[in-house]
Amino acid sequence: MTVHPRVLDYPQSFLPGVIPDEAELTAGQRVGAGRSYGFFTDTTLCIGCKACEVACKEWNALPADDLGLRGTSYDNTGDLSATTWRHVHFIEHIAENGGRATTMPPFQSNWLMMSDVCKHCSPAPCLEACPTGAIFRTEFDTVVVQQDICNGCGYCVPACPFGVVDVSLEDGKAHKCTLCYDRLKGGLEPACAKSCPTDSIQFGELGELHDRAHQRVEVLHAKGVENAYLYGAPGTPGATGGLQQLNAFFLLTAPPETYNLPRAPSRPAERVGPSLAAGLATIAGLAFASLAMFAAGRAD
Amino acid sequence: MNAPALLPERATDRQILTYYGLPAVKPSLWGGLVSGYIFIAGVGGSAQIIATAADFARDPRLAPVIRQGRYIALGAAILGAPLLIIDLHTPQRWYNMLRICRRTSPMSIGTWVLMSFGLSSFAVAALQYVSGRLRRPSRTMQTTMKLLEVPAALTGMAMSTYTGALLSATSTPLWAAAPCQIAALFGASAMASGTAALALAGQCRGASSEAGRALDRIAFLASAVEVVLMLSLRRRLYEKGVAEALGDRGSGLAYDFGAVMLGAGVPMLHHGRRILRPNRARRPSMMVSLAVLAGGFLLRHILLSAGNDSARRPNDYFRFAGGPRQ
Ligand code: SF4
Repeated sequence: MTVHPRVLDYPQSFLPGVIPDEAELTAGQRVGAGRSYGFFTDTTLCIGCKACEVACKEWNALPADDLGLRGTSYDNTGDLSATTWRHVHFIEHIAENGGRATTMPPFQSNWLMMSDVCKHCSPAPCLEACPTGAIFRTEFDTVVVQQDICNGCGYCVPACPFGVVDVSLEDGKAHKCTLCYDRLKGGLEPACAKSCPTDSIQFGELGELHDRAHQRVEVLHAKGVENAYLYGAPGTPGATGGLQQLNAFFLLTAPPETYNLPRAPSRPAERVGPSLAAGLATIAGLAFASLAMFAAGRAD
Repeated sequence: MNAPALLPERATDRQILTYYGLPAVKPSLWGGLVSGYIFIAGVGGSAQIIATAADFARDPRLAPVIRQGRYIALGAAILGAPLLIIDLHTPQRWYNMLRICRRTSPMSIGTWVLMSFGLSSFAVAALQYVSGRLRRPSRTMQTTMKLLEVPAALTGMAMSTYTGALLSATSTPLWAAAPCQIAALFGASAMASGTAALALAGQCRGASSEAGRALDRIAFLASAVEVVLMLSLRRRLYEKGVAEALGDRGSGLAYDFGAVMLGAGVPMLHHGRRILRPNRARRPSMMVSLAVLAGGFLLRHILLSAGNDSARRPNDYFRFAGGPRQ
């Protein structure tokens, strides 16, 4: 990656203030309202350093979680929660007989690592479920919970097809990744993407990210990683069942379930119509039957 | 574009991969309060429907059923709203529910349904009360009541069934796999519970035998539809591979014996016998009405907690969100 010429304007170690449009220097993108932004997380580049988890907690002032050992893999975070908005999965490839794998596939050895995050779905099931309008779509095409409006009804929690958003029992509000809404407003790249040392997490405008991602898949296929595929880009697994695309999408090399992702997630809002219609039809039928029975009583 | 063929083959049902067995979606935070609300909303909504149907039959002997139905509906609306507010995690902000109206969210739809049901039920019940105290109720009062009971009954239909959509418009496998069955079942069960509540009210506060006979028939029909829907829901959940949570920790037994048999099957037979032999059967059994009400609550509570349980099972979710079977 070449260095942006504007970098030379800021040689000092301690900057006097925020660099205007800093994202241009760190992610090669200016951030502007009215355009769609997202993350492309390329799992073949992830080394499991968890810098993203730490950067996210630092920037968003999120408290530490339970510091226990899970004993399943090197992932002791477990899942995304109200206080964890980036989470690195560690999946160890075990050989067929249950022992140590002796062959090593290219990229990621026998460990798969993937930094998971809110997908900023389009359309977003959490937003469509929110009865207060606390969850909204920002001018950057991302999905954010407004803390001053949320009343903690918790309906977004089961609505999310990826188990991302959660209600904190500490403050009674729903919380999730904001795609660093505040940083975007200030022209900065989101904290996790900026801190990622291998560029496994790439921030940018969606169209450009899609191009980059498709090229990367082709490069990987050419190098012999035949099972590389995109998850969440338009027309790929993850963008199914009424979900047009996930603004945070992934490059994966194993079945989605391996990374705790559903193969064909669906948009819950599409079940509202059929469900209401079936319910109302049933009860309307019974209501008319009751009327007939009361009326029959009058006849005799 | 990467061809879908590159997506690794879907594992067979038995060997679906999971991430160390950790849940892939989060369960709802709902518990008994919400099952209680779903139940009460059904009883009140259906009591209003039955009262309106009875009023439309223009039979003066039905007056007690109409009156009791209207009061039960108001009681349910008065009880239901606080249950929902207490269940919020920031209850002092409950009024934010009134900021928007959203078609994609059954929670928002339900907010407005409950509001309009509550207001119209209040108006109808208030007119009912006042006209009961007057020696000669005015004609305008009667007409207003007739005009208001229609929206009250229509929103009563929504009250009895929208809760099915509330559960199904989520990513919880056990609820999302059967959107039509759950809503239809809630509707039938609500009618059965509403009828049982009216039968009980009739026993305590007096009712005519004409009303009793009609209520027997409605109860029989509603319970019969309920039994069929309960069995078809169970089948559907098995077909979709998301029924495991219903077989666990006794919830399967509670469903089959508590909800299906005691709550609907036995009452159906009881009312059927009363319809066939009107002379032999004397008073309707209070026990049966109580069993219907208990079964109605149980049904909702089992479905709610089994749903939460299914969300914690990655295999269930991956079967539900597994795409077309290969
Ligand atoms: S991943 Fe979940 S929390 Fe994030 S936008 Fe989609 S539905 Fe909302």
